[in-house]
Amino acid sequence: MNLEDLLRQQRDEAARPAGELTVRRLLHGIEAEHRRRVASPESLRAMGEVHDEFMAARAALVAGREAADRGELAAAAGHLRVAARSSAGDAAVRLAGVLAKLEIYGEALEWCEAAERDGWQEAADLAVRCREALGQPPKASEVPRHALADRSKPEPVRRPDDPSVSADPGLSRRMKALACTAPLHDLDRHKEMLKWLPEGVYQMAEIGMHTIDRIALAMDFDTGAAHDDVVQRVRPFIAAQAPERSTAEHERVARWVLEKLINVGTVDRVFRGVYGEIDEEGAYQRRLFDFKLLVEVPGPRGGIFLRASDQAINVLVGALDTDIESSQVAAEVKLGNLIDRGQLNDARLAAETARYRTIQFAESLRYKLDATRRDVRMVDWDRALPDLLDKALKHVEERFRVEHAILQNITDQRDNADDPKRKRLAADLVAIVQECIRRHTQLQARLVSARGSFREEQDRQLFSGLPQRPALNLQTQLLLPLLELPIAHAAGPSDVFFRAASGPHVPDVLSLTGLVMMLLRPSADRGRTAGPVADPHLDEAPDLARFPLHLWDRAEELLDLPGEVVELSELLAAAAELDSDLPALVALLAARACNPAVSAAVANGDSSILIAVPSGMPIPPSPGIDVLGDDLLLTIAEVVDVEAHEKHEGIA
Amino acid sequence: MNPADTAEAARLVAMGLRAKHIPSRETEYRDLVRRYQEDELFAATADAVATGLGLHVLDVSQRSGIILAADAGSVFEVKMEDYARRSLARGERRDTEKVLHGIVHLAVAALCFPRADDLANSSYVGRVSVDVVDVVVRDACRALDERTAVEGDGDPTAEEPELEKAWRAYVRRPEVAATKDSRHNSDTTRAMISRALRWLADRGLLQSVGDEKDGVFRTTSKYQVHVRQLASHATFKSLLSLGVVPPMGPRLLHAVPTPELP
Repeated sequence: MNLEDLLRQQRDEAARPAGELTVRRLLHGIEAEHRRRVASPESLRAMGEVHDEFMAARAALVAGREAADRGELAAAAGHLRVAARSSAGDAAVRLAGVLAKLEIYGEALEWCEAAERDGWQEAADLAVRCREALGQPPKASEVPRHALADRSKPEPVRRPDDPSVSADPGLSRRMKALACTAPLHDLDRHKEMLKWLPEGVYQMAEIGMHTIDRIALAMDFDTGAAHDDVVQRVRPFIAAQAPERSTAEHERVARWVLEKLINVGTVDRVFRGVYGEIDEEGAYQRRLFDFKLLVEVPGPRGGIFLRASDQAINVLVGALDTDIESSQVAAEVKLGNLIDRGQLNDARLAAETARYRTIQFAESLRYKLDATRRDVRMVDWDRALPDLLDKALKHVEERFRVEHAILQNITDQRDNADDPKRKRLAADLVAIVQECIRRHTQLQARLVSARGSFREEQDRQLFSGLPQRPALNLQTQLLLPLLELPIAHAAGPSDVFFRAASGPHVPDVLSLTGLVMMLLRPSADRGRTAGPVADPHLDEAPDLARFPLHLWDRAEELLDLPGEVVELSELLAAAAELDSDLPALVALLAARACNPAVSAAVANGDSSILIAVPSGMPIPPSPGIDVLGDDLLLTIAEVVDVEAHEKHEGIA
Repeated sequence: MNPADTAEAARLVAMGLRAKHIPSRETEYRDLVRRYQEDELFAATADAVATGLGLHVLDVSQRSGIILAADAGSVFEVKMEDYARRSLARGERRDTEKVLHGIVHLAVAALCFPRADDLANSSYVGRVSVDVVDVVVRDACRALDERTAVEGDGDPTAEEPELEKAWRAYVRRPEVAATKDSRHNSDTTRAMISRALRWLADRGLLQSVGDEKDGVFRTTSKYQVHVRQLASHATFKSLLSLGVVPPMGPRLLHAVPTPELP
């Protein structure tokens, strides 16, 4: 099909609903096609490509028109976008109309402007409407045509001279998210500095990510994971990376990664990132961003547990939404899907998240009731709390409905599953969902009694007589203003309060009796709190021995001469053949044998001893033997305790 | 007034310097307090002795005896430098450490006497524990954080760390942290609060309730008098001198803590 055919087809199509508008559109279509043909290169191949593109655009335009007529606006917008990008017919104008109906005014405005430049006068009216909807002044600056054509995905209109263009909140958000990954990269960078670690065995960032995952999984509402538990849970993963290394080393690696993620060694245990932002005046401002990956939280009975921080979960684990309502809905949708697809393992995680959200509601309520008990005026019982109660009640209702449905679904799954693993997973999930339902029941009971406790507290606090004397409200009038002050200013008031509220201090007077008592006092019990503990760095003790052990063994073998007399020079020659360092040791041992420690040998009960006497000749110099002096005759003598021997003889 | 009477007056002041003595347990103390209440000349002498020592008498009652406060610069004055000295050795900015301790002490008082009426009512006995103090301060901080987020004044600038707000320093400090020998790190907020409570209990201002390990304390009238008659007003004035005008009357929810869920 050649170009003429196409144009004829277009003309036929366009001619059907006759009228001035259609004729003009037809003319524009032909004009646009003409420009395209003139602009395109002469080569036939290129022409063919242009044809294909045009064909696709035509088809898209037709599909888009039909979809728009049927009222399927989203589908129509998709088709028309394809068509409009190739400037096919009146696609741009139609697309703008569809987008305006969908209320995507920014994009609609772009296409209007493009259509206006192509000569479609009716686009102007639409453009005005879009600008009104966007709250822009009627005349916006021109968007260059080529920029529009190159854009594969249209973006909202922005004025390039607006300073807020680079103060895009998305930029700061992304920079913050990026900063959260820095500690993980640092793990791999810092591992080079660990002397006890073999090079290139462990992937620290992976271990770090795995550690965070394990902690996020172990997180319950009340507690988190204990340090040792985390180490034990992560160890198999580390062992998989280096099965040939020892278990002790795996644990050490796990502990090191854990400490790095907690950021042990700093007072605040925070990681700090710096990002830039452009403020209202257009000036660049560096801002500090503090974050934690793992936080230590107090558990019941004084224990310390680990939890993954919100930042860690958002960036690294991937639960992106922290708004309760929406994440609850998301979790529920996910749960339903997972169960449908039979992925129960993930479903378990989703169910746990759902339970976590539920408990948060209960916790928020409990907190507000506690605050009410302290001071009813601290809680907004006029609007905020009734809102919360209504929201929570609605939430409980909804959850009851959804979770009973889910429970039924997975109970079926559990009963029908053949695979024992899946059966067990489903059984676990049933337990979790039952636990969720139990939590909802609890929450509901609290919701019902909440208003009652408010009334009781109101009676107690507000109708119990007037105060006897004026006093300040410490929290709202002192604590909050103090918290809002910059550190440098806050030092004054906080110091004043501390001094005034602590009473007089009686200085310690030094007296001799007091000093003696103090010195004699038994040491106090170990306190429950302590400052950071410095890990002493122990160097390996240097090996000061002149000769290694195996040389001593060799030397003893050589000097073991029962019943024979050997010259030292012979032994030295034999020793030099074995080891270059051995002659020196043999010579030293032989020299010691000149004055044998006989009494020591007797005391030790040794049966024999090496003795040496000078032979009167010097040791002949020879290569490899660096010993000078008199040659010695060496032999082994038996050690006999004379007194005992004589006694023994006498008895005999 | 003869020297013997002056000695008696001085003895009353000396009783007030012993943290845990109360009139109901000592006949001598009880008699001195009664004499202070009945004999104006004796009372004036006791006040004069106190003034000479660099103290002033806040209150004298049979319930808690003579309550003394140290004047600025006297030997009896407690100094934040001494209190916070232990932590100062470990670097970190001096101001931050001191401000955090001050916040902790103020928060303890605020939790002991949550309403203005509680502070005014002499028969009120407040209860306080480490957990509650930390939770309430953190929630107040969270409310401030949300407010700054709404007002668009985001993270502090990198160039002027000393202008960082006090609440940010508190939030940044961990609640608890384990040391390598599995004890609690003393630089955390909970350890600081626990230290403040024990310190106040040592000076007879709070009393431990039940087992000491539970960390629950109740207030004494001595503490109430200190906070009501001295500390709250002095701090209020200090805030005013900085140009901060604390709100008069109670503020509702928007000012304070409601933990919107994390």
